[in-house]
Parts: sequence; structure tokens; C-alpha cells
Amino acid sequence: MTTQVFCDFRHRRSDDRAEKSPRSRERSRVLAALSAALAAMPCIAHHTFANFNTTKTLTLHGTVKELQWTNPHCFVQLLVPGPAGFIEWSLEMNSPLSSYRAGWRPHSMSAGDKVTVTINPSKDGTPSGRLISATDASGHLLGKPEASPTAPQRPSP
Amino acid sequence: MRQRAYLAAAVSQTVLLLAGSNSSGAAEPAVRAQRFARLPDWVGVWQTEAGAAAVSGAGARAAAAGAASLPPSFKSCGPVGFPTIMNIPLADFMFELLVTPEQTLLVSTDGTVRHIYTDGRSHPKPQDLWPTPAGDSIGHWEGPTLVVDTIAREPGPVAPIRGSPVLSAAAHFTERLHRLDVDTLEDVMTIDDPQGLKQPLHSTIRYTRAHDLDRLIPIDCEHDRNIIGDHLGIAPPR
Repeated sequence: MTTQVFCDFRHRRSDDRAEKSPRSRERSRVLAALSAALAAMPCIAHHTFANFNTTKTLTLHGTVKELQWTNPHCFVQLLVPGPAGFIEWSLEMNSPLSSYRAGWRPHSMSAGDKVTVTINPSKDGTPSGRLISATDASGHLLGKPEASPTAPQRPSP
Repeated sequence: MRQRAYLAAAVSQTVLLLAGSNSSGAAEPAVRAQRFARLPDWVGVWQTEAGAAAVSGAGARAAAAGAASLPPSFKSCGPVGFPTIMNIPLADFMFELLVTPEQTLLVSTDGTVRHIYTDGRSHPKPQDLWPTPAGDSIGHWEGPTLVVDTIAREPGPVAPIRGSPVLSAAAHFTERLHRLDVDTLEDVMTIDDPQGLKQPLHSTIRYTRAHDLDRLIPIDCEHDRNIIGDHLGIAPPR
């Protein structure tokens, strides 16, 4: 069972769906490329997450300053101790809709909570990144981890 | 005299009942209940199969691999309009359907609302019509299938991505929407647009019912912290 996205719309004659002219093949190639482009922006969102290094994972231990339960994306503001005091990290999540489906709730984290997170850090070197997974002080997973090439596997129940 | 008045009132009431409508044009409750009973149950939150696949995680991997092919300025948190809402493979785009005898209402997470009137009306006269993001839709039932006719959609690309076919304001959409099984809906869509397309576009789109949502949760761009353009990044917290 497959779904054709709009880019899969066939530029074909309604009375001849088996048309295989070079022109139609070229259209098919163009539309297939469009299909790949649309299908490639899934879980997410309103930009491509291209600013994150998805081949690198960092683990941070810190104190929650705030969970911003906002559209288009939620953010965790995390205070992480550093050599010269706390550094505030901005950790991007998915939308409230997708986060909710993944088991997150607006109060899954509260200010002052001690948490451990894994992230894909930003490429620009700022203290920011994409949140992959988070556990509370007891080691319990908060929500479902993000699928990522470097994301840790979800523990078996 | 009084008997004649009663008789007239009784005849009037009978005519109204037979017609199934009262003086305001609304159906009598019993008649309307019968009409409701003939309609399919499409209750639930629906999303394209591709959107559902994105939730599973396979889509996220595809995103990491193919993100470079997207326009850097693309934002999918705002309303994308029709027909994109019917065929968008993104996890955040979902819709609910409210089926009534008078109309079927489709409400999307992006705020787009389609009113598909099934009360027998025609499209407005051309002089009373102008293009809108959702267009003007009328429909009728052929058994369990909702046949939809849509015109007056704002001109523009079919999908908000580079290279998408561009439709004119004269584009004409026909859809046959029906349920394949308890958790699957199918929409068979054709777009005719002699001004914008050399030939009709056809698509068969399937939707699955989400079992992990208890309500439709809206999306928007209200708290957008993403910096796009020459530099991609995250804006400091407000």
C-alpha cells in the first residue's frame, strides 16, 4: 500500500495512462525528484534541520530552565555547568503535535529538574542543538527518542 | 373557521414533514437523523500514509539524507491550503472530518478548513466567486463515496516546493473520497486545468487513522526561533 504525494502526480493523459514517450519519462524523472524532496522533509517541520550535525552526538547533564511548549517547535532551555559558570543551551524539539504523539507533555520537564540529554549539536558552534533523547534524574526516558542516524536505540520495554 | 385554520396548519405541517424541512430550511430532527444514519463514520484524526511513516522514524532518516534538496526558506508551519493539505507527507499535517447531511467539514492542523456542501447546491455564480486557499467545494454521495467538485482555488503551485506544477485560478478538482477499511481512507483526485496544465493530473492518496492522538492539535509559526537564509541557526530564547 503506497501513497503518492503530489509530486507523484502523473502528467499523463487520462485516456492513456501507459504512455511512455521520452517526454513523459522526463516528466516522471522530474516528478520523482519532487517526490523525494517532499518525502525528505518529514518529521518535522518547517525547516530542514540542516543546521545540526546529525553525525555527531553530545551528551549534556544540566538543569532545566524552561520547556517552551510552542509552535512551530518546542525548545528545552538547559543550564549546563561550565568552567566560567552556567551555559544556557537551546535544544530544539519537534512541534507540540509531534512531541505529544511521542509521549511528551507540556510539563514533562519543569524548571529546576536535573536531566541528561543527547543532542545533535548545531554546526555554527553556538550552544544549541536538536534534542534526540532525554532522561530524568532517575534515568527514566522522557518521551520517545527522536529517530536520528546517531540517536541511541530506544530501550526495550 | 377555527377548524379550517387547524386543517390548514395540519396540511402545512404535513407538507413540511414530507419535504423534510421547516420554514427555516433546516431538516426536521427525525428526517435529519435518518439522513445522518445513511452517512459513513469517518470520525478520527487522519494523515497521509507517508506522513504516518514519517512518525515512525524512517522519515527522519530520509530527512537527514535529503534535506539539501529543499528550498532553505521553506516553512511548513503555516497554512499550506488545498490541495496540499490532502497530499502532504509531513508528520504535522493531519485533519479531522465532520460528516453531516448538509456538508462535510475537513479541518486541518495547519488551520485550513474545507467546507464541502452536500445539500444540493451549485457553485456560486462566477460573478459571486473569487479564488481562496481552499477553493469552493460542493459534493454528493454515491453510496459510501463522497464525490467532491472544487473550483476557485488560488492560483499557484500544486505543492509549495520548487518545480511543482503551477495551477491557474481555473483549475478544477474532482475527488472521490471513501473508506477502504476501518483505519484507511482513500481520495482519488484529478486536477484539470487547461490554462495551467497540458494534461490532467491524477493521484490516489491514502490516509490512516492516528491511534495516538485524542484530538487535533494545531500547528503554526507563532514562536519561530529558526534563523534561515545565509546562516542557519537558533535564535536566543525570548
